[in-house]
Amino acid sequence: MTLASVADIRGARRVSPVWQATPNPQVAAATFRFMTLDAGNTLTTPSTSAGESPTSHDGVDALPAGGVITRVDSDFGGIRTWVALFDLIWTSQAIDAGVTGVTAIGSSTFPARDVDGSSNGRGLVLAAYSINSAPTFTVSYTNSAGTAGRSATSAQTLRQSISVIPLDSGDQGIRSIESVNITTAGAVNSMQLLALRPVGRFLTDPRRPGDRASAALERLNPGTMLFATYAAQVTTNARGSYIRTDIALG
Amino acid sequence: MAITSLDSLIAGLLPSYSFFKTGTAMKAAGLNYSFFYAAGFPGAATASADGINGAALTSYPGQLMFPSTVGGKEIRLARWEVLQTSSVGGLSIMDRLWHNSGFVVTSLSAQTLTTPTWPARDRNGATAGDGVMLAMEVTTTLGAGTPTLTVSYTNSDGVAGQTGTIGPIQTISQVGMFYPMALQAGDKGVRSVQSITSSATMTSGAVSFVAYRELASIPTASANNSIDRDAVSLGVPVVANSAVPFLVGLATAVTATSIDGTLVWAQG
Repeated sequence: MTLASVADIRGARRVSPVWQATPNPQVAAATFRFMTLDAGNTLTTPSTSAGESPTSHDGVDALPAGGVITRVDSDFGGIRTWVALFDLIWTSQAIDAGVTGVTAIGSSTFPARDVDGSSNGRGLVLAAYSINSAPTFTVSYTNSAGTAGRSATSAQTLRQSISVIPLDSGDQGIRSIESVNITTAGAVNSMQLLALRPVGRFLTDPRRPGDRASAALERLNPGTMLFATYAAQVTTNARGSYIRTDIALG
Repeated sequence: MAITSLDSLIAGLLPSYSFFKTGTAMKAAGLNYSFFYAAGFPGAATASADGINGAALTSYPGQLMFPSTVGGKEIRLARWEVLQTSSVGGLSIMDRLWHNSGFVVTSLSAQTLTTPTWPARDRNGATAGDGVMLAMEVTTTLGAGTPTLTVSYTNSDGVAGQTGTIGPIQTISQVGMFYPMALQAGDKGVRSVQSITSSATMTSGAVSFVAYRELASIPTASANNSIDRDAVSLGVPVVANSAVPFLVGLATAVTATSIDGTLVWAQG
Protein backbone atom coordinates (compact mmCIF):
# COMPACT_ATOMS: atom_id res chain seq x y z
CA MET A 1 0.00 0.00 0.00
CA THR A 2 1.18 3.51 -0.74
CA LEU A 3 0.43 6.25 1.70
CA ALA A 4 -1.39 8.70 -0.52
CA SER A 5 -3.64 10.82 1.65
CA VAL A 6 -4.12 12.29 5.09
CA ALA A 7 -6.51 9.44 5.89
CA ASP A 8 -3.93 6.84 4.86
CA ILE A 9 -1.37 8.31 7.21
CA ARG A 10 -3.85 8.63 10.03
CA GLY A 11 -4.75 4.98 9.63
CA ALA A 12 -1.27 3.60 9.18
CA ARG A 13 0.48 1.58 11.80
CA ARG A 14 3.50 3.20 13.30
CA VAL A 15 6.95 2.32 14.45
CA SER A 16 8.99 4.56 16.68
CA PRO A 17 12.66 3.73 16.78
CA VAL A 18 14.26 5.34 19.79
CA TRP A 19 17.89 6.16 20.26
CA GLN A 20 19.71 7.49 23.26
CA ALA A 21 22.32 10.13 22.67
CA THR A 22 25.16 9.89 25.12
CA PRO A 23 28.38 11.49 23.83
CA ASN A 24 29.10 15.15 24.08
CA PRO A 25 29.34 17.08 20.82
CA GLN A 26 33.00 17.42 19.95
CA VAL A 27 32.72 20.65 18.02
CA ALA A 28 30.03 23.27 18.12
CA ALA A 29 28.06 24.11 15.03
CA ALA A 30 30.14 21.96 12.75
CA THR A 31 28.09 21.76 9.62
CA PHE A 32 28.58 18.57 7.64
CA ARG A 33 30.09 17.02 10.73
CA PHE A 34 27.38 15.00 12.27
CA MET A 35 28.21 13.58 15.62
CA THR A 36 27.30 9.95 15.87
CA LEU A 37 24.95 8.89 18.55
CA ASP A 38 26.57 6.38 20.79
CA ALA A 39 24.53 3.64 22.41
CA GLY A 40 21.86 2.28 20.10
CA ASN A 41 23.31 3.69 16.95
CA THR A 42 26.86 2.53 16.38
CA LEU A 43 28.36 1.54 13.07
CA THR A 44 29.17 -2.03 12.23
CA THR A 45 32.63 -2.82 10.93
CA PRO A 46 32.64 -5.28 8.00
CA SER A 47 35.53 -7.67 7.68
CA THR A 48 35.99 -7.59 3.90
CA SER A 49 37.41 -4.91 1.65
CA ALA A 50 34.12 -4.79 -0.29
CA GLY A 51 32.34 -3.61 2.83
CA GLU A 52 28.66 -4.37 3.25
CA SER A 53 25.16 -2.99 3.10
CA PRO A 54 23.82 -3.74 6.54
CA THR A 55 20.34 -5.13 7.04
CA SER A 56 20.42 -4.33 10.72
CA HIS A 57 22.71 -2.44 13.02
CA ASP A 58 22.88 -2.48 16.74
CA GLY A 59 19.41 -3.87 17.17
CA VAL A 60 17.69 -1.67 14.58
CA ASP A 61 16.16 -3.63 11.70
CA ALA A 62 15.60 -2.52 8.14
CA LEU A 63 12.22 -0.95 7.50
CA PRO A 64 9.57 -2.73 5.45
CA ALA A 65 8.03 -1.10 2.39
CA GLY A 66 5.77 1.90 2.48
CA GLY A 67 7.28 4.00 5.21
CA VAL A 68 7.05 7.75 5.54
CA ILE A 69 8.32 9.84 8.41
CA THR A 70 5.43 11.56 10.07
CA ARG A 71 7.10 13.14 13.05
CA VAL A 72 10.51 13.55 14.65
CA ASP A 73 10.84 14.70 18.19
CA SER A 74 13.84 15.02 20.39
CA ASP A 75 15.27 16.62 23.45
CA PHE A 76 18.93 17.34 23.83
CA GLY A 77 18.93 18.60 27.36
CA GLY A 78 18.52 22.25 26.48
CA ILE A 79 21.00 22.23 23.62
CA ARG A 80 19.91 23.50 20.25
CA THR A 81 20.76 20.85 17.73
CA TRP A 82 19.80 19.65 14.35
CA VAL A 83 19.08 16.00 13.80
CA ALA A 84 19.97 14.45 10.47
CA LEU A 85 18.48 11.15 9.43
CA PHE A 86 20.16 8.99 6.80
CA ASP A 87 19.57 5.66 5.14
CA LEU A 88 22.77 3.71 5.78
CA ILE A 89 23.39 2.25 2.32
CA TRP A 90 26.90 0.88 2.66
CA THR A 91 29.87 0.93 4.98
CA SER A 92 33.50 0.00 4.39
CA GLN A 93 35.69 -2.04 6.61
CA ALA A 94 38.01 -0.15 8.94
CA ILE A 95 40.59 1.73 6.90
CA ASP A 96 44.09 2.12 8.19
CA ALA A 97 44.45 5.88 8.13
CA GLY A 98 47.70 5.63 10.04
CA VAL A 99 49.82 5.47 6.92
CA THR A 100 49.64 7.34 3.67
CA GLY A 101 48.92 5.53 0.43
CA VAL A 102 46.19 3.82 -1.55
CA THR A 103 43.83 1.21 -0.13
CA ALA A 104 41.72 -0.74 -2.64
CA ILE A 105 38.05 -1.07 -1.73
CA GLY A 106 35.89 -2.36 -4.59
CA SER A 107 32.57 -1.82 -2.87
CA SER A 108 29.77 -4.35 -3.14
CA THR A 109 26.76 -3.37 -5.28
CA PHE A 110 24.60 -0.93 -3.40
CA PRO A 111 21.00 -1.89 -2.61
CA ALA A 112 18.28 -0.30 -4.72
CA ARG A 113 17.64 2.54 -2.32
CA ASP A 114 18.80 5.71 -4.10
CA VAL A 115 16.35 8.57 -4.68
CA ASP A 116 14.96 6.73 -7.70
CA GLY A 117 14.71 3.40 -5.89
CA SER A 118 17.56 1.97 -7.94
CA SER A 119 21.14 0.94 -7.26
CA ASN A 120 22.60 3.59 -9.58
CA GLY A 121 23.34 5.82 -6.65
CA ARG A 122 21.67 9.10 -7.59
CA GLY A 123 21.32 11.18 -4.44
CA LEU A 124 23.73 9.05 -2.41
CA VAL A 125 26.42 11.04 -0.63
CA LEU A 126 29.90 9.90 0.23
CA ALA A 127 30.87 10.31 3.86
CA ALA A 128 33.67 9.36 6.19
CA TYR A 129 33.50 8.40 9.82
CA SER A 130 36.69 9.17 11.69
CA ILE A 131 36.93 7.61 15.11
CA ASN A 132 39.81 9.37 16.75
CA SER A 133 41.79 11.35 14.20
CA ALA A 134 41.37 13.65 11.24
CA PRO A 135 43.16 12.26 8.20
CA THR A 136 42.92 13.80 4.74
CA PHE A 137 42.28 11.62 1.74
CA THR A 138 41.01 11.29 -1.81
CA VAL A 139 38.40 8.72 -2.81
CA SER A 140 38.15 7.23 -6.30
CA TYR A 141 34.56 6.35 -7.17
CA THR A 142 32.07 5.71 -9.97
CA ASN A 143 29.33 8.29 -10.16
CA SER A 144 25.60 7.64 -10.45
CA ALA A 145 25.79 8.05 -14.23
CA GLY A 146 28.27 5.15 -14.39
CA THR A 147 31.41 7.21 -15.04
CA ALA A 148 34.40 5.62 -13.33
CA GLY A 149 37.53 7.37 -12.13
CA ARG A 150 35.78 10.22 -10.36
CA SER A 151 37.57 11.82 -7.46
CA ALA A 152 36.38 13.23 -4.14
CA THR A 153 38.76 14.92 -1.73
CA SER A 154 38.09 15.35 1.95
CA ALA A 155 37.47 18.95 2.85
CA GLN A 156 37.23 18.51 6.57
CA THR A 157 37.25 15.51 8.80
CA LEU A 158 36.99 15.49 12.52
CA ARG A 159 37.30 12.87 15.16
CA GLN A 160 34.14 11.16 16.29
CA SER A 161 32.25 12.71 13.43
CA ILE A 162 30.73 11.90 10.09
CA SER A 163 31.85 14.23 7.34
CA VAL A 164 30.18 14.45 3.96
CA ILE A 165 32.76 14.65 1.17
CA PRO A 166 32.34 17.00 -1.83
CA LEU A 167 31.94 15.10 -5.09
CA ASP A 168 33.63 15.68 -8.44
CA SER A 169 32.23 18.39 -10.71
CA GLY A 170 28.58 17.98 -11.56
CA ASP A 171 28.12 14.57 -9.93
CA GLN A 172 24.76 13.77 -8.35
CA GLY A 173 25.69 10.62 -6.48
CA ILE A 174 27.94 7.59 -6.12
CA ARG A 175 27.43 4.10 -7.57
CA SER A 176 30.54 2.40 -6.20
CA ILE A 177 33.81 3.15 -4.44
CA GLU A 178 37.06 1.84 -5.86
CA SER A 179 39.82 3.05 -3.54
CA VAL A 180 40.93 5.63 -1.01
CA ASN A 181 44.28 7.40 -0.94
CA ILE A 182 45.28 8.66 2.50
CA THR A 183 47.29 11.84 1.93
CA THR A 184 47.74 12.93 5.55
CA ALA A 185 47.92 10.15 8.08
CA GLY A 186 45.61 9.90 11.04
CA ALA A 187 45.33 6.98 13.42
CA VAL A 188 45.59 3.26 12.68
CA ASN A 189 42.34 1.57 11.61
CA SER A 190 40.48 4.69 12.49
CA MET A 191 38.25 5.47 9.53
CA GLN A 192 35.31 4.09 7.61
CA LEU A 193 33.77 5.29 4.37
CA LEU A 194 29.99 5.39 4.08
CA ALA A 195 27.40 5.70 1.35
CA LEU A 196 24.34 7.44 2.73
CA ARG A 197 21.04 8.68 1.43
CA PRO A 198 20.06 11.80 3.34
CA VAL A 199 16.47 11.40 4.41
CA GLY A 200 15.82 14.63 6.21
CA ARG A 201 17.00 17.01 8.87
CA PHE A 202 15.14 18.66 11.68
CA LEU A 203 15.91 21.46 14.08
CA THR A 204 15.36 20.73 17.74
CA ASP A 205 14.69 23.74 19.87
CA PRO A 206 15.49 23.69 23.59
CA ARG A 207 12.65 26.10 24.21
CA ARG A 208 10.26 23.52 22.85
CA PRO A 209 11.60 20.18 24.01
CA GLY A 210 9.97 17.25 22.35
CA ASP A 211 8.41 19.36 19.67
CA ARG A 212 8.67 18.68 15.99
CA ALA A 213 5.90 20.26 14.02
CA SER A 214 6.71 19.87 10.37
CA ALA A 215 4.97 16.97 8.68
CA ALA A 216 7.85 16.40 6.36
CA LEU A 217 6.56 13.03 5.22
CA GLU A 218 9.90 11.94 3.84
CA ARG A 219 9.46 8.73 1.91
CA LEU A 220 11.60 5.77 2.84
CA ASN A 221 12.64 3.03 0.46
CA PRO A 222 11.93 -0.60 1.40
CA GLY A 223 14.86 -1.89 3.43
CA THR A 224 15.88 1.53 4.72
CA MET A 225 18.42 1.33 7.54
CA LEU A 226 17.60 4.49 9.41
CA PHE A 227 20.69 6.06 10.90
CA ALA A 228 20.46 9.13 13.10
CA THR A 229 23.12 11.77 13.65
CA TYR A 230 23.14 15.19 15.16
CA ALA A 231 25.19 18.35 15.34
CA ALA A 232 25.02 20.84 18.17
CA GLN A 233 25.70 24.51 18.64
CA VAL A 234 27.73 23.95 21.78
CA THR A 235 29.86 21.18 23.25
CA THR A 236 27.87 21.01 26.44
CA ASN A 237 27.05 17.63 27.90
CA ALA A 238 24.05 16.19 26.13
CA ARG A 239 23.60 13.09 28.25
CA GLY A 240 20.14 11.73 28.66
CA SER A 241 18.98 13.13 25.36
CA TYR A 242 16.86 11.27 22.88
CA ILE A 243 15.59 11.28 19.35
CA ARG A 244 12.34 9.55 18.50
CA THR A 245 11.20 9.14 14.94
CA ASP A 246 7.58 8.27 14.17
CA ILE A 247 7.25 6.38 10.93
CA ALA A 248 3.95 5.48 9.34
CA LEU A 249 3.81 2.24 7.44
CA GLY A 250 1.09 1.67 4.87
CA MET B 1 -3.50 15.40 -13.68
CA ALA B 2 -2.35 18.05 -11.25
CA ILE B 3 -1.74 18.60 -7.58
CA THR B 4 -4.98 20.18 -6.42
CA SER B 5 -5.38 19.03 -2.82
CA LEU B 6 -3.41 18.05 0.26
CA ASP B 7 -4.13 14.42 -0.53
CA SER B 8 -2.77 14.71 -4.05
CA LEU B 9 0.29 16.51 -2.68
CA ILE B 10 0.92 13.68 -0.23
CA ALA B 11 0.41 11.08 -2.93
CA GLY B 12 2.96 12.83 -5.12
CA LEU B 13 5.73 13.36 -2.57
CA LEU B 14 9.13 12.13 -3.78
CA PRO B 15 12.14 11.12 -1.68
CA SER B 16 14.05 14.12 -0.41
CA TYR B 17 17.01 15.41 -2.42
CA SER B 18 19.89 16.78 -0.41
CA PHE B 19 22.54 19.37 -1.18
CA PHE B 20 25.56 20.87 0.51
CA LYS B 21 27.82 23.53 -0.88
CA THR B 22 31.10 24.86 0.47
CA GLY B 23 30.91 28.53 -0.42
CA THR B 24 33.85 30.80 -1.02
CA ALA B 25 34.52 34.37 0.10
CA MET B 26 31.99 36.94 -1.06
CA LYS B 27 32.59 40.53 -2.14
CA ALA B 28 30.40 42.56 0.17
CA ALA B 29 27.28 42.52 2.29
CA GLY B 30 24.13 43.16 0.35
CA LEU B 31 25.32 41.43 -2.80
CA ASN B 32 24.18 38.11 -4.21
CA TYR B 33 26.29 34.97 -4.44
CA SER B 34 25.65 31.96 -6.67
CA PHE B 35 26.52 28.55 -5.25
CA PHE B 36 26.55 27.08 -8.77
CA TYR B 37 30.34 26.78 -8.88
CA ALA B 38 30.84 25.84 -5.21
CA ALA B 39 32.16 22.39 -4.31
CA GLY B 40 29.94 19.94 -2.52
CA PHE B 41 26.93 17.85 -3.41
CA PRO B 42 25.99 17.86 -6.23
CA GLY B 43 29.50 18.51 -7.46
CA ALA B 44 30.44 21.97 -8.66
CA ALA B 45 29.28 23.15 -12.07
CA THR B 46 31.80 24.12 -14.70
CA ALA B 47 31.33 27.42 -16.46
CA SER B 48 29.47 27.63 -19.75
CA ALA B 49 31.51 27.34 -22.94
CA ASP B 50 28.55 28.04 -25.20
CA GLY B 51 29.81 31.36 -26.58
CA ILE B 52 28.18 34.75 -26.59
CA ASN B 53 24.79 33.52 -27.87
CA GLY B 54 24.67 30.95 -25.11
CA ALA B 55 22.45 27.92 -24.79
CA ALA B 56 18.93 27.28 -23.53
CA LEU B 57 19.07 24.80 -20.68
CA THR B 58 16.98 21.77 -19.79
CA SER B 59 19.67 20.19 -17.62
CA TYR B 60 23.21 21.06 -16.63
CA PRO B 61 25.86 19.21 -14.58
CA GLY B 62 26.07 20.83 -11.17
CA GLN B 63 22.39 21.79 -10.93
CA LEU B 64 20.38 20.73 -7.91
CA MET B 65 18.76 17.34 -8.36
CA PHE B 66 15.34 17.54 -9.97
CA PRO B 67 12.73 14.92 -10.82
CA SER B 68 12.59 13.47 -14.31
CA THR B 69 9.59 14.48 -16.41
CA VAL B 70 6.57 12.20 -16.19
CA GLY B 71 3.91 12.75 -18.83
CA GLY B 72 0.73 14.32 -17.54
CA LYS B 73 2.16 15.22 -14.16
CA GLU B 74 3.27 18.53 -12.72
CA ILE B 75 6.02 19.22 -10.17
CA ARG B 76 5.73 21.37 -7.07
CA LEU B 77 8.16 22.24 -4.31
CA ALA B 78 6.83 20.59 -1.15
CA ARG B 79 9.49 21.19 1.51
CA TRP B 80 12.76 23.06 1.82
CA GLU B 81 15.10 22.79 4.80
CA VAL B 82 18.47 24.50 4.95
CA LEU B 83 21.10 25.93 7.24
CA GLN B 84 23.96 28.29 6.57
CA THR B 85 27.14 28.57 8.58
CA SER B 86 27.87 32.27 8.67
CA SER B 87 26.91 35.09 6.34
CA VAL B 88 24.03 34.22 4.05
CA GLY B 89 20.89 36.03 5.15
CA GLY B 90 18.53 34.44 2.65
CA LEU B 91 18.51 31.87 -0.09
CA SER B 92 16.58 31.62 -3.32
CA ILE B 93 16.08 28.67 -5.64
CA MET B 94 16.36 29.82 -9.24
CA ASP B 95 15.50 28.01 -12.45
CA ARG B 96 18.38 28.55 -14.89
CA LEU B 97 16.89 28.96 -18.37
CA TRP B 98 19.90 30.16 -20.32
CA HIS B 99 23.52 31.12 -19.88
CA ASN B 100 26.44 32.10 -22.07
CA SER B 101 30.18 32.72 -22.17
CA GLY B 102 32.55 34.75 -24.31
CA PHE B 103 31.75 38.26 -23.08
CA VAL B 104 34.94 40.32 -23.41
CA VAL B 105 35.40 41.89 -19.99
CA THR B 106 37.88 44.50 -21.22
CA SER B 107 35.76 45.83 -24.09
CA LEU B 108 33.76 49.04 -23.86
CA SER B 109 31.92 48.39 -27.11
CA ALA B 110 28.41 47.00 -27.39
CA GLN B 111 28.68 43.23 -27.61
CA THR B 112 25.80 41.87 -29.64
CA LEU B 113 24.18 38.51 -29.16
CA THR B 114 21.29 36.50 -30.52
CA THR B 115 19.78 34.54 -27.70
CA PRO B 116 17.80 31.37 -28.45
CA THR B 117 14.15 31.13 -27.51
CA TRP B 118 13.93 30.51 -23.78
CA PRO B 119 12.61 27.12 -22.69
CA ALA B 120 8.88 27.28 -21.93
CA ARG B 121 9.46 27.83 -18.24
CA ASP B 122 8.43 31.42 -17.56
CA ARG B 123 5.79 32.23 -14.95
CA ASN B 124 3.08 30.95 -17.30
CA GLY B 125 4.96 27.95 -18.63
CA ALA B 126 5.60 29.85 -21.84
CA THR B 127 8.61 31.21 -23.72
CA ALA B 128 7.57 34.87 -23.52
CA GLY B 129 9.75 35.58 -20.51
CA ASP B 130 7.21 36.70 -17.92
CA GLY B 131 9.13 36.67 -14.62
CA VAL B 132 12.42 35.85 -16.30
CA MET B 133 15.34 37.91 -15.04
CA LEU B 134 18.89 38.44 -16.22
CA ALA B 135 22.08 38.53 -14.16
CA MET B 136 25.82 38.61 -14.59
CA GLU B 137 27.58 35.75 -12.80
CA VAL B 138 31.35 35.79 -12.23
CA THR B 139 33.01 32.56 -13.42
CA THR B 140 36.67 33.64 -13.10
CA THR B 141 37.61 36.28 -10.53
CA LEU B 142 37.53 39.73 -12.10
CA GLY B 143 40.31 42.27 -12.14
CA ALA B 144 40.07 45.90 -11.15
CA GLY B 145 37.15 47.98 -12.34
CA THR B 146 33.71 49.10 -11.26
CA PRO B 147 31.69 49.29 -14.47
CA THR B 148 27.97 49.50 -14.93
CA LEU B 149 26.56 47.33 -17.69
CA THR B 150 23.80 48.45 -20.02
CA VAL B 151 21.67 45.71 -21.53
CA SER B 152 19.43 46.07 -24.56
CA TYR B 153 16.65 43.50 -24.41
CA THR B 154 13.16 42.60 -25.53
CA ASN B 155 10.66 42.46 -22.71
CA SER B 156 8.12 39.75 -22.01
CA ASP B 157 5.46 41.68 -23.94
CA GLY B 158 7.63 41.54 -27.04
CA VAL B 159 8.74 45.18 -26.96
CA ALA B 160 12.29 45.47 -28.29
CA GLY B 161 14.84 48.14 -27.43
CA GLN B 162 14.29 48.09 -23.68
CA THR B 163 17.24 49.07 -21.50
CA GLY B 164 18.32 47.39 -18.29
CA THR B 165 21.30 48.05 -16.03
CA ILE B 166 23.58 45.75 -14.07
CA GLY B 167 25.86 47.01 -11.36
CA PRO B 168 27.95 48.82 -10.56
CA ILE B 169 30.12 45.74 -10.53
CA GLN B 170 32.47 45.56 -7.53
CA THR B 171 36.18 45.58 -8.26
CA ILE B 172 37.87 42.17 -8.12
CA SER B 173 34.58 40.33 -7.70
CA GLN B 174 35.08 36.69 -6.83
CA VAL B 175 33.74 33.60 -8.57
CA GLY B 176 30.05 33.21 -7.82
CA MET B 177 29.19 36.88 -7.36
CA PHE B 178 25.80 37.35 -8.98
CA TYR B 179 24.61 40.77 -10.17
CA PRO B 180 20.92 40.92 -11.18
CA MET B 181 19.72 43.34 -13.83
CA ALA B 182 17.27 46.12 -13.07
CA LEU B 183 14.53 46.14 -15.71
CA GLN B 184 13.28 49.20 -17.53
CA ALA B 185 10.31 50.83 -15.81
CA GLY B 186 7.13 48.78 -16.09
CA ASP B 187 8.73 45.61 -17.41
CA LYS B 188 8.15 42.25 -15.76
CA GLY B 189 10.49 39.97 -17.62
CA VAL B 190 13.05 39.39 -20.35
CA ARG B 191 12.24 37.53 -23.59
CA SER B 192 15.61 37.95 -25.31
CA VAL B 193 18.84 39.94 -25.12
CA GLN B 194 20.31 41.94 -28.02
CA SER B 195 23.45 43.60 -26.65
CA ILE B 196 25.46 44.28 -23.51
CA THR B 197 27.80 47.24 -23.04
CA SER B 198 30.24 47.79 -20.20
CA SER B 199 31.03 51.35 -19.06
CA ALA B 200 34.56 50.47 -18.00
CA THR B 201 36.97 47.59 -18.17
CA MET B 202 36.94 44.76 -15.67
CA THR B 203 40.61 44.20 -16.55
CA SER B 204 40.56 40.41 -16.40
CA GLY B 205 38.45 37.42 -15.48
CA ALA B 206 35.34 35.92 -17.03
CA VAL B 207 31.57 36.14 -16.64
CA SER B 208 28.40 34.42 -17.75
CA PHE B 209 25.08 36.10 -18.28
CA VAL B 210 22.20 34.05 -16.93
CA ALA B 211 18.46 34.16 -17.63
CA TYR B 212 16.64 32.75 -14.65
CA ARG B 213 13.36 32.69 -12.77
CA GLU B 214 13.03 32.68 -9.01
CA LEU B 215 11.07 29.71 -7.67
CA ALA B 216 11.14 30.20 -3.91
CA SER B 217 13.03 31.97 -1.14
CA ILE B 218 13.74 31.26 2.50
CA PRO B 219 15.20 33.52 5.22
CA THR B 220 18.40 32.25 6.82
CA ALA B 221 19.31 35.13 9.09
CA SER B 222 20.61 33.03 11.97
CA ALA B 223 23.79 31.06 11.37
CA ASN B 224 23.85 27.34 12.14
CA ASN B 225 20.14 27.11 12.64
CA SER B 226 18.25 24.74 10.43
CA ILE B 227 15.11 26.35 9.07
CA ASP B 228 12.38 24.73 7.04
CA ARG B 229 9.25 25.58 5.09
CA ASP B 230 6.52 23.15 4.16
CA ALA B 231 4.60 23.21 0.90
CA VAL B 232 1.95 25.64 2.05
CA SER B 233 4.48 28.05 3.56
CA LEU B 234 6.35 28.02 0.27
CA GLY B 235 3.18 28.73 -1.69
CA VAL B 236 3.19 25.25 -3.28
CA PRO B 237 5.09 26.66 -6.26
CA VAL B 238 4.69 24.94 -9.61
CA VAL B 239 8.06 24.22 -11.20
CA ALA B 240 8.14 23.45 -14.90
CA ASN B 241 9.43 20.13 -16.18
CA SER B 242 13.15 20.05 -17.03
CA ALA B 243 13.92 22.94 -14.69
CA VAL B 244 17.58 23.59 -13.87
CA PRO B 245 17.50 24.66 -10.22
CA PHE B 246 20.42 26.37 -8.53
CA LEU B 247 20.89 28.42 -5.37
CA VAL B 248 21.65 32.10 -4.88
CA GLY B 249 22.32 33.59 -1.46
CA LEU B 250 22.29 37.14 -0.13
CA ALA B 251 25.56 38.02 1.59
CA THR B 252 25.40 39.69 5.00
CA ALA B 253 29.23 39.80 5.20
CA VAL B 254 32.16 38.63 3.11
CA THR B 255 32.90 35.45 5.09
CA ALA B 256 32.91 32.23 3.08
CA THR B 257 29.70 30.43 4.00
CA SER B 258 28.61 26.87 3.51
CA ILE B 259 25.04 25.73 3.15
CA ASP B 260 23.36 22.40 3.32
CA GLY B 261 19.83 21.13 3.31
CA THR B 262 17.16 19.08 1.65
CA LEU B 263 14.44 19.65 -0.93
CA VAL B 264 11.29 17.60 -1.28
CA TRP B 265 9.48 17.74 -4.61
CA ALA B 266 5.99 16.47 -5.28
CA GLN B 267 5.00 15.15 -8.68
CA GLY B 268 1.39 14.40 -9.47
